[in-house]
Formats: sequence, C-alpha cells, structure tokens
Amino acid sequence: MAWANCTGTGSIMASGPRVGFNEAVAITTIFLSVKILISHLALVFPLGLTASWMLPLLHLPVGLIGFAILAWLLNQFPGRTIVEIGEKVVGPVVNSIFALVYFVFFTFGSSLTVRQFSEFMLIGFFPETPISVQILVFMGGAALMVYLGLEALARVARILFFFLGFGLLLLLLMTMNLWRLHGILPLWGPGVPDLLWAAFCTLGVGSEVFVLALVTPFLPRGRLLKIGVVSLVSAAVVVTVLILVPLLVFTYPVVREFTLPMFELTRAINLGRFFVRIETLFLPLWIFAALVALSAALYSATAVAARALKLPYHRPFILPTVVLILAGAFYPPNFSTTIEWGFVFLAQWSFVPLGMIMTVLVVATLVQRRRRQKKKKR
Amino acid sequence: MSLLRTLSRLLVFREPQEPVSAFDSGREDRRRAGGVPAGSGYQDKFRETYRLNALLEQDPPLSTSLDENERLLREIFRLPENKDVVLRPFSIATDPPLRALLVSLDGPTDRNVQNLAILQPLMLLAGLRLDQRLAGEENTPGANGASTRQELLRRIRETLLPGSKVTPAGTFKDVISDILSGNSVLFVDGLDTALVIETRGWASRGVGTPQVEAVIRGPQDAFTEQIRINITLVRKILRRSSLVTEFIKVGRMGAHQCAVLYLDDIANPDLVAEVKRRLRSIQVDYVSESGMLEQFIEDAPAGLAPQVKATERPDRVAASLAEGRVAILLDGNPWALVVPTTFFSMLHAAEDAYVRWPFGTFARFIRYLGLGMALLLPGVYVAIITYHQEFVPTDLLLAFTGAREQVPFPTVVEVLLMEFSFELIREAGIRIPGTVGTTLGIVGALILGQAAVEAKIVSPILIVIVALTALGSFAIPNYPFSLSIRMLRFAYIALGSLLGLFGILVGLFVHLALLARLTSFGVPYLAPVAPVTRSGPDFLWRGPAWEQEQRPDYIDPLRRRRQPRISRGWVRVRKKDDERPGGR
Repeated sequence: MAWANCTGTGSIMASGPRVGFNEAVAITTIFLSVKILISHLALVFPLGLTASWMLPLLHLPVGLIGFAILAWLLNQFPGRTIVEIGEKVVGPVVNSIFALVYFVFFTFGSSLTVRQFSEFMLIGFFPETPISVQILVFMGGAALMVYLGLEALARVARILFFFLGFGLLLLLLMTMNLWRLHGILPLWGPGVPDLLWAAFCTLGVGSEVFVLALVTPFLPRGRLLKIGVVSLVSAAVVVTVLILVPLLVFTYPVVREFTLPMFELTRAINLGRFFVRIETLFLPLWIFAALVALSAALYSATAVAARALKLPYHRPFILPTVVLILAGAFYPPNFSTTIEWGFVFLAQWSFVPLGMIMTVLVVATLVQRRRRQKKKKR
Repeated sequence: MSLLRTLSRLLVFREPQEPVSAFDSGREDRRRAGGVPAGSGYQDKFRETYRLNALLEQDPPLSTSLDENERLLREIFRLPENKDVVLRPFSIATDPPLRALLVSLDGPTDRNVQNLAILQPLMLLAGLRLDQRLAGEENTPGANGASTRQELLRRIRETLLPGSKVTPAGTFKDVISDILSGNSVLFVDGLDTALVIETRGWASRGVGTPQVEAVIRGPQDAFTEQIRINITLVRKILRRSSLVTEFIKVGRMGAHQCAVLYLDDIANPDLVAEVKRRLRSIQVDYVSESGMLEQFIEDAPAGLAPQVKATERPDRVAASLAEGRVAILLDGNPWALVVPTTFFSMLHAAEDAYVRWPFGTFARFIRYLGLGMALLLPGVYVAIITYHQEFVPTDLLLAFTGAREQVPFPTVVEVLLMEFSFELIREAGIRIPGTVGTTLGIVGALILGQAAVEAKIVSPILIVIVALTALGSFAIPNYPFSLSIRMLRFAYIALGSLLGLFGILVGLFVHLALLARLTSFGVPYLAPVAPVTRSGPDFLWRGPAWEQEQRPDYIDPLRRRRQPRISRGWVRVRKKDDERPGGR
C-alpha cells in the first residue's frame, strides 16, 4: 500500500475511498449470499426439491457470463460507474430511467431484506421487542456505516467475512451428527427440465453483483473481472452448502415446512446435555451479515442518486433513502407476504430490468464504437 | 462601651464594606471600560511586557557594546527582582585585559563546569597576548572591524575555552533560549557574538526500571525525564549511523525540546515530514507531557482509541524505529510516542518478541480474550440474563436464578452498581499515595464485594463477572487503550440491557466501523487486516523471529526486507536466496 497518499486526514479525504481486492470480494460475497440466511430458502425448496442445492451451481455460469459482459462494459469507460456510463451512452433522459431502476432495486430490496431480518429477530429472539424498533436499529447501524463511507464499509466487511465464515463452518460441524445422506435423493429432484426451469426462474439471485458497477472507480485497476468472478464463485459455494445442509439434516419434504430453515437448523443442534438451544450463538451470523448487506445496498442506492444528480457526495441522500427504505419495509402486511415479495422481487424478476438495461448499454456502446471507427476510416 | 457597640452592631443595619485588595483579577471588562486609571501599575506593567515581548519577537542582534547587552538582558530577565539569573562580570586575563560577562541560570547550570571550564581558564590561565589590532581596533565598524572581531572570537573559542561544546550565538533569542536550558553564555566587550558553553546540569533521576511496561525477560531500562539520556538509551540499542535525531521546539511560552527520531534509510520521508509538520504547527503556551503532545498531533481527537503508541521502554522504541516508524521524545518526560500505530500494536507487549514464538502467540491470544472480556462480558451477561435465558444450559440457569433470587435489583442495575464501584476503587487506589494504595484497593474491592453479596445487593455470579472483566482490562498492555475500553464497556452494558445481544452486535458493528475509519498519521488503524496489506507474522499472532522477514507494508518503508528469506544460515544454504535483491 502506498503510504505517500496518507499524509494526514485531509489528503485521505481528498484522494477518495479505496477498496482493495479482498474487501471488494468480502462485500460482494456477503451481499450475494445474505438472502440464504432468511426465508429465501423456504421458497427455493419447493422449486428444486431434493436437488435445490444444484440451483446455485446452475446459476453460476450464467452469472459469470453476465458479469463478464458487465465488466467489459465498465472497462470501456475507466473511472466511471454504470450511471455515468449510461449518461454518456444513452443520454441523460433515458439514463434517468435506468438510474431510477437501480435506485428502486437497491431501495426496495433493502426494505424487504430488513423487514425479513426484523421478523426473524421477532420470531426467534426478541418476541417482546416491537418490530419497528428492530427495523430502526438495523437501518440506524447501516446508515451510520454508510455515513462513514465506502472504505469503512469495505474494511468492516473484510473483518466480518472471517467471522461469518467461521460461524458457517461451526454451524456445519455442529450439525454433522444429524446429516442423513439420503436427504438429497432422488439426485435430480423434480427432473432435469424442471430443475433447469427453476434455475432460470431464479436467475435474479445474482443481481446483487451489480454493486460492483457502482464502486468500480474505487477498485484496483484491471481487477474488476477477477473480483466479480471470485465473489460469484464464493457466493455460489456458500449458498450451495447452506442449501445442502438443511436438506441433509431435515430431509425433503420436512424442510419445506420451515419459514426460517437456517434458524431451524441452528435449533436442531444437539451436542450432549450441555449444548442445547444454542441458536443464540449464531446470532452474530445473521446480524452482521444483515448489516453488511443493508449497508452495501444503502450505499449503492445513495451512490446512484448522487451520481445521477452529479453530486460529489452521497451523504445528503442517506436520510431520505433510509426513510424510503423504512416506508417500504412497513408496506408488506405480514411476514409471509414479505417473503413472497422478496423472492419475486429479488430472486425472480430483478434480472429482467437489470439485464435489459445492460443489453441496451452494451448495444449502444458497440454502435457508438462502430460509428467512431467508421468516422476514423473516412 | 463594648456591650453597647455589640448591641449597635446587632440592631443597626450598615452597608457591608467591600474587602480592599491590591489584586483585582479577572476584571478585563472594567479595564476595557477605563475602570483602571491610566498610569496605574497594571497598565505600566502591561506596556512594559508588551514592549519586551515585541523586542524578543524582533529577535534583535547582539550589540558590540557589553553594557548595552547587559542592559537588555537585565530588562528581559526582570533583574534585579529575578534572583535566578546570574550575571557575572569579569576580565579575561589577556594582555591588555578584556571586559566580559558570563550569564547563566542558578540551578540548572553545573557550577563546577562553569568554574573549571570557563572562569578559571579565562581569568587565571589566559595569558594571551593580544596584538594591537585585536586589542584596540575591535570596535572599528565596517569590513575590517568585522574580520577583527571574528578573529578575536575564534581565538577565545579555540584557545581559551576548554569546554567540549562551545557555539557562537548572534541574537538575543538564541542566547536566552540557551540560558534557560542551563547553558552559560559568555559576552565579551567589543564582540557582537556571544559564546554558548555547554554547562547543563539539571537534577534528574537515573535510569530506572519500567513501571508500566514491566517484563520478566528483556531489558529493564526505562526512559527518564532527561531527553538526552533517553536518546542515548535508544542509541545504545540501535547503533546505526542513519539514526537521526531532529529537535523541534514546541510551545511558545515555555518551549520544550521535542526530539524526532527515525532511521533515515528506512523511515518513509513523507511520514517523517508529516511528523515534523504537525509538531511545528503546534501553537500552544507549553506542552509539558507527552500525553498533551499526543492530543495535538493525533488524527482524530474524538476517536475511540489512541492513535499514538506511548511507551516507556527504549527497546520498544528501537524496534519501532527499525520497522520504519518515527519516535517522538519530549524533554522532561519519560514516555516516548511512536507513530504510526495500529489496533494490533496496542495489544503487543515487548516480551512477545523475547520469549519463544509459541508463548508469545499464546500470550497475545490471552490478551485478545482479555480485551473481549473487558469490553463485552458485563454487557453480554446483562443481555443473556435479560433476553436470552434459553441460551444458558438448564443447570447453569438454575444456579444463576438461585443466586439472584434474593437480589431486589434488575440485572442491569446490579451490574452498573458493581462496575461503578469497581471503577471507584480503581481510581481511588491510584490516587492514594504510596504502596498502601494497591493494598487498599484490593482489600476494598474484596470487602465491598463480599459485603454486597451478603447484603443481597448483588449476586455472587456478578462478582465473578466483574472480577473477570477487571482481569481482562488489566491484561491490555497499553494503558490509554485500556482506558478507552473501560469507558466503552458501559455503552455495551446499556446496549445489552436495551436490546440484548442484538444491541451489542449492532454496537460492535458501529464500533468496528468507527475503528475502520480511524487513521494514525494516515495509516488505517485496522491495517494490515483491513485494508489487507503485506505484513510479516507479527500482528495478530507472533511468528518466529527468523520469519520476521518483511517490515509492515502499511508504513511503506524505504526498505521492505528486514532479513533474508533464509535468516538462519546454518539450516541450509541456498545460493539462489543470496542472489535475490535484499538477500543475504
């Protein structure tokens, strides 16, 4: 690391945030895999049945191709985010619609995520605490983090990445005595065509990788593709394992009955007379993952707003965005609606608008390049 | 009559008389409004002080007239009221004799050195025959006069004064600064340059053992209040020609010498420049303690942790310098400041490096555990007892409940009561003079704890919790860091009682975020973990001494490699390693 830029606080602020390779991977991986800790799984099992664990592996190649295209697009305009690229390629009017889509994706996605985590806390740990307090505390933590900036977020994500990994490993090890290998049989679940269709229907699970398109200027040069690939592969491995373990422990169809399969998994741990009901031990896993993901989403939403309105700072947008997220979080009438909306919005359909925008931007870039080349030839 | 007078005093009301005092302080408003008559002592003194301060600010050159120089010195040092300054007029035993004046401060000056190395040679042993040119034409103005004066000065300096350090000074500011630091200044009639002779002899204690950073294995030296001795202690360990000591004066009213130490061939020049820039920029009356200086130079004064490492051990300073860091020593202070520092170095102790690496690593992990307990244990206890009873195994829960059965307070009140009592005992223990303080503290804690349990104010389990918390905070080797942890513990207790583990974890997240944002002289506080930078195995754990091959990357030293990849030459010799850049 170059110390030369770090002479005093002032110069650090002037040089802008810097996010290293490891930090970027940590944020993206946590952001991509956080949904597995809440009720996303409850809607995955009915689609993939005993082969649900294969879904992330089927998503992975599509995600990698999609990200490779996104990385190509971003590399065409070094030092610019997707919002600025949109402005340059399709003009400010069309780009404002694109920016609105990004903003809604991150804002409403956060609303549904924070509501699910808060409902989970209510059910599992704090039945007496009002859900509004829990949502406010979650969003307060995330807002403070975003206020402190991207650098702080990236560093904290990097540190917590170890703790989350350790927590997951502990969870796997503690449930090993409950694994029943026949839980994944029949191996192909609903059959290959249905499995492929289920994978296609849930392609949106990787949309969160889009966060990299908003922090590109702060990432190490030339390493965007590698960051994306490592993040997608890590997230796919984590999600695969976390789908596989409940299947092995509870087996199908029992696993379909849980609203919060991961919570049930921690409750199932039984290691002698002393270690029972140790789900509280895994509370850091949920809370830290939720806070990192919410902070990443909030930062992305505010960064979109700042870039779209050509403001150098994202801080003025934190409070209004938090208010919007809170409004969105209180909108679903109950927990089951929140789960359903979350699944439909984040896992099923988010890839459609984002994919369309990306296609438009890529095509427009190619057209412009061709025009420029033609002009040069003339 | 006296009875009548007493009765009259009791019965008749009289306006109370204001006490008459010659000193009426703090009445700036009245003075501004013209309340103090012109020509009073205050205004005269004010004008006089202002004139002298302005004179010093101008930094006038010395005069060739000895009488003029003496007059100004008398004014500046407030003679004859001030009894500390000694003006000793005498004649130098030359042929013909020369009038001279020796000025020094009574106390910090070594009288023996003054007598034997200045007065004796000049008054008795001079015997120098000055030629006509030097004796008679010294006051001649112009180029000839100047060269003559220079020649005379050179002769006195080189022939008559046997002291080891004699330096010329041409202005009053330089002269006064040296007199105040214990040196003697010689004025000679006809010369516009004085000679500063090293005669410092401050009373100071000798090199002692470390009081705060004691070790079982390792050097037992600690810094003293003498900056020169402290620098010598560092130089004794780090015998390297590139070890540079630069002096910067800090403070306008009572300037203290501040020594900036660094290895010129290793420390990043930007870092050195930044340290000097910050020190030079300080505008303050005086800084008497390194703790005060630290507050002037740290990146974030409101940060949750100290951003400067304070140490009383020369070996730690030497090790830090060898890594490429910069040390700051303040005159009159037995603590050195080392910058930049990181979170991990706050949990390092000198002994980690002196014992074999598995024990060093083990000790560090014990300290991390101590840190966790000092910060979180009471808060987590409150959270679990209040919100997460299911987490406690049934037998243990029954024991907890049984112990708390007769305690009337909620857990949080119980914890706060004991924590505040403990903090009170700790603070009182420090303030009580002498060794009785520690004993009284421990006895007080034991008696108070036992009495509180027997009176059913707190449960016995809580005493265990508070004791473990205290042990944890004592295990933190850095005192200022331990103070910040002590304070933050109460925030976690509040969070635990309000929102259970949820609150504590959100608090921890925010705490981490604030630490992640913190920098020490521009270096991220959580480096080399976040951001990830290259570093040897000496941050989280302590690797073997022969594996400490690289200096920390986050300091960005001029030379990264500390030792060759194969530092234990006797193990195996590989020519390939010797050929590598920076290799053997």
